Amino acid sequence: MIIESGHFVLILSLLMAFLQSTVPMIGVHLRNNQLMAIAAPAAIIQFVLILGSFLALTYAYVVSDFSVINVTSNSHTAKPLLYKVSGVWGNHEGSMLLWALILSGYGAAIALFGGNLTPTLKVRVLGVQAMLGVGILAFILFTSNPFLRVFPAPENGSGLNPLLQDPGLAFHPPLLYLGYVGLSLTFSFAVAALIEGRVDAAWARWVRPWTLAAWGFLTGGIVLGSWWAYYELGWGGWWFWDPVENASFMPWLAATALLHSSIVSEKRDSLKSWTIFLAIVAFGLSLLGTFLVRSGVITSVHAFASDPTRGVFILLLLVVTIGGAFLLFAWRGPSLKTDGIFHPVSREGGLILNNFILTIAAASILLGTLYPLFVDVLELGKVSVGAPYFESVFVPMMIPMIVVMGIAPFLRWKRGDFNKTTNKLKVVGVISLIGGCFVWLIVDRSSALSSLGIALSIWLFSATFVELTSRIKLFQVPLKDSMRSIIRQPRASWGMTFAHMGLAIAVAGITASSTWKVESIQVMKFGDQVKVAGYTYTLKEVRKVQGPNYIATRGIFSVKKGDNFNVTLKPEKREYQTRTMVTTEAAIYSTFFGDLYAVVGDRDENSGGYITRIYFNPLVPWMWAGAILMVLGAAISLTDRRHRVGAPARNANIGTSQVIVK
Amino acid sequence: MTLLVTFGSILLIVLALLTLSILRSKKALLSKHNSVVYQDQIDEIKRDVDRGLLSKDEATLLGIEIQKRLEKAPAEDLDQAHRDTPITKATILTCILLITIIPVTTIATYNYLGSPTKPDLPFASRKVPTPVNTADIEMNKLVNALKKRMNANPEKIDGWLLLGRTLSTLKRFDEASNAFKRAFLIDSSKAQIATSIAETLFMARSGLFKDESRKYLKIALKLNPREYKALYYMGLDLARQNNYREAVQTWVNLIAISPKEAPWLSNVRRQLAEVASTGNLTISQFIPQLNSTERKATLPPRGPTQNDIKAAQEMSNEDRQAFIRSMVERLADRLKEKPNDLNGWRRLARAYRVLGETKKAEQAEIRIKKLKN
Repeated sequence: MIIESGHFVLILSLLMAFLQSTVPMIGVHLRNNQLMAIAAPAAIIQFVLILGSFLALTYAYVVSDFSVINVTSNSHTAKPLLYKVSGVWGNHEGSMLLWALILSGYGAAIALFGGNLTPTLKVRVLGVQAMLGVGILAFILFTSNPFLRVFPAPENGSGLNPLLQDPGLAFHPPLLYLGYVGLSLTFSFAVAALIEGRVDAAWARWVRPWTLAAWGFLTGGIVLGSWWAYYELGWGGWWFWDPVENASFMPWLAATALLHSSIVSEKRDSLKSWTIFLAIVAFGLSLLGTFLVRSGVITSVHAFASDPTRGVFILLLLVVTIGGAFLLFAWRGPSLKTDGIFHPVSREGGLILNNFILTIAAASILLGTLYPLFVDVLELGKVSVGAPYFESVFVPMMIPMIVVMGIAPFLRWKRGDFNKTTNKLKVVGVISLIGGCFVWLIVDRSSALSSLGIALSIWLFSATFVELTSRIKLFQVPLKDSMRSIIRQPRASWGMTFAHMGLAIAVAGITASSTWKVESIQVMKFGDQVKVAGYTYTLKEVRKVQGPNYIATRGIFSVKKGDNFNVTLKPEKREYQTRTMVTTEAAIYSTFFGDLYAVVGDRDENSGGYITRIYFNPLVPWMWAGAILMVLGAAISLTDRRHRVGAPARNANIGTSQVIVK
Repeated sequence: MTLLVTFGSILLIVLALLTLSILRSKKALLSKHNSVVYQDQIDEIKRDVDRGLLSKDEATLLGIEIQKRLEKAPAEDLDQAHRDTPITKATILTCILLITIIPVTTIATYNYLGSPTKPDLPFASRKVPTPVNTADIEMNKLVNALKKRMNANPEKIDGWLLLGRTLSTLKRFDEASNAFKRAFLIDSSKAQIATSIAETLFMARSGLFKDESRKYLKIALKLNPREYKALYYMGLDLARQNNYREAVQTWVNLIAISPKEAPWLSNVRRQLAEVASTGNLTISQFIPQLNSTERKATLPPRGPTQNDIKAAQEMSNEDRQAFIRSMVERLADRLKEKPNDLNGWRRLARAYRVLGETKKAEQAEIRIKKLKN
């Protein structure tokens, strides 16, 4: 009964979404308060219904109800509870349900906390959000229904993909979806503004925090996915320019651009049509990402063609949503009035330049991701676009961007003083140059690009630091005053400081780990020693270990360096019993300067030893730390009261569903 | 019944909330949103000057700009505010439409997609024991017993073959291939054994061909060019290496020599068609290279073979029981995949009768009746 009720409320939620996307929109047009008033309750009801449906499916997984086809094909009684639950979204149908849940969750958030939006805008935003809901819910119900049943029920399920039985991956999709779908809200805001034909001040205030939230989740989701690839795939790499990774990276770039242009829109009442354009692009890219991953078009164009229902549905959704939005943009965009004139050398100017670079970068990744697909569809042969393309296109674009990132925060709004700024940054520039030269001369003379990477990292970090000190007038006023002003810094600017410093640290990690990685693959017998990056690895033994639903081959390495450093690494190779599948679990020991990384492979029949892969991945922990700082920056910035004020407080005479604003 | 009540109450609550929200909103929504935002921006400039983020000059410039916008704001806000709207016929009509359309459409769609008669079926509450697992446990016992015996008399080829087959059933393909290899060491003239080695190696590598499995396939075909399974796998390997022409030829040969009633034919034909279309080849142009006229081919035995039975006779009582049981389970498993095999069901029913499992025997007999109709 619980399962059938879950199915029923899911259908009802589609009706709610349909209602929410039509009646209130007509209401706004007719200026009829009653019709408009449906929007907010419908949004909340829709969310509650989908939540109910999601919980019903989760229940089916937890109690292992194999009469539900979705549970049979993705779960097994022998699976640990955590992975039974994460199995809910570890498959196509369930992940789409999660998508819909998050989409409606954002809608409900607007309905509940959107009291400071102008009433017509709020209704329109909810209306557009519900249109997206109609599309996704119809997609779920008619092509990917997780509630289909089978009788007589199979005796047991066929298990979750063992690769997905991992905490990193259990929480990677929800975070990523929170980001992807968070961009739906800025999309709805953009389209609502276009329908309204005007972008008012409250609009920009609202877009910014939502972009920030979506960006934070997206960053977290991408990093978690990357971290998973790093320790689970066992090749010592963390980013492979794989189409699935690109599918999440493109919206991230667009969201980063959007995040910055929305600052200009909010503070300076300008760049509004550009912000709207970016909002459409960012969500368009996240829909495209969903299409690429969910239609199966990446694995094989032919596999996609053999069962095209799902793919065609998402493609249609993509075309209608994004095509429709761009048509609307072409029609209404030019009439948006823009204030706030500025000089090219100004903070606006810097932000625009970076926006421009980010957009081009996203476009070039899009090209590289889609090109092989087009070639395949047109039957021009097989082409694979890999890391060399992406690195040679993407990396050079990031160089001017990071240079500007150092300068722009010093520039004033409207008209900046270039000379004054460069004066402040002279020292920083010199330090970065010295750092770069040091790396080039002392560490590695073969790669000029990586010295440049380190120099840029130093540049960005110290420029951001100097910007902070000049904001608090460190050493210009008494230290006490500086300390007082450090406390009074707005949280949004702390957010920027953290995020920019985070990126600087991550850039160092990315540069170092991709250039100076040390790799050693060999067959080792017990007692054999290998020296990698100054660390001596001894293979002590290899034994079989029984896990909850797998048998692991566990290698035990003792790693020594000098007299004081002695660590044991225990990599595993796991064989899962429900599906004949093997996964590797790399053993990683992080130090300040890099990760010791060991993988145990198959037994070599000839020599009786084991194939082992040992890596030294320099500065990889820096990368994770940098990413965490970036997410932290977003979180700090979100708590800024500026994102919550600017709204009329509750007034006894005012509407129904407004909420007190702090 | 409870289902109807649940659905009914959900619908009732949702519709009540919606209609109430419509009927309660007569008052106009006042709006001074823009003015408030601009006022706040002006305050923010003052705060920023206090914090030392903005210079006085900058602040004045920005202040003037926002002040200008603030002056225009009331007009913008006025445009947003609307009049009170009394409840009209249109509103009431909307409510009536909602109350009818939403339940009707929801129920109709549910009727189309849902399974209202089917109850929840949590694993814990299911009466069915888990035959897969118990069978596994028994099979594991059998494997251990067999292994012990084989270590004592390693020269018995039938024992190794039985062990290999049982391990394959348990999906322990690596061990199975080793058992088959031991058997092959004893008698290297049997193509079937070489094929079994190749097959288990293939399974053990998650369905990929490696050099070792290829080697045994070649040996098998050298020993007997008409070895069905080996021909099948050879064709599959060739197709995967994009060698479509030879793959098609191999399978055409396989089809030519296969008995008419061979269960694999439909599967091979389907894959053959796929491979031929991928490689742009016309199947009819391929002439079987293996002679099909002297068709003395018979199906390989299904279920326990003579040798299996012989091996079973040498076992202790307990082992024999487990062994028979495992064979029966294998048969039951196969019937799950191919439920239309009437003879299979007959054998299964008989076996269950012998083992004294009346309930299962009855279930199988019901299947036989159904198939006969």
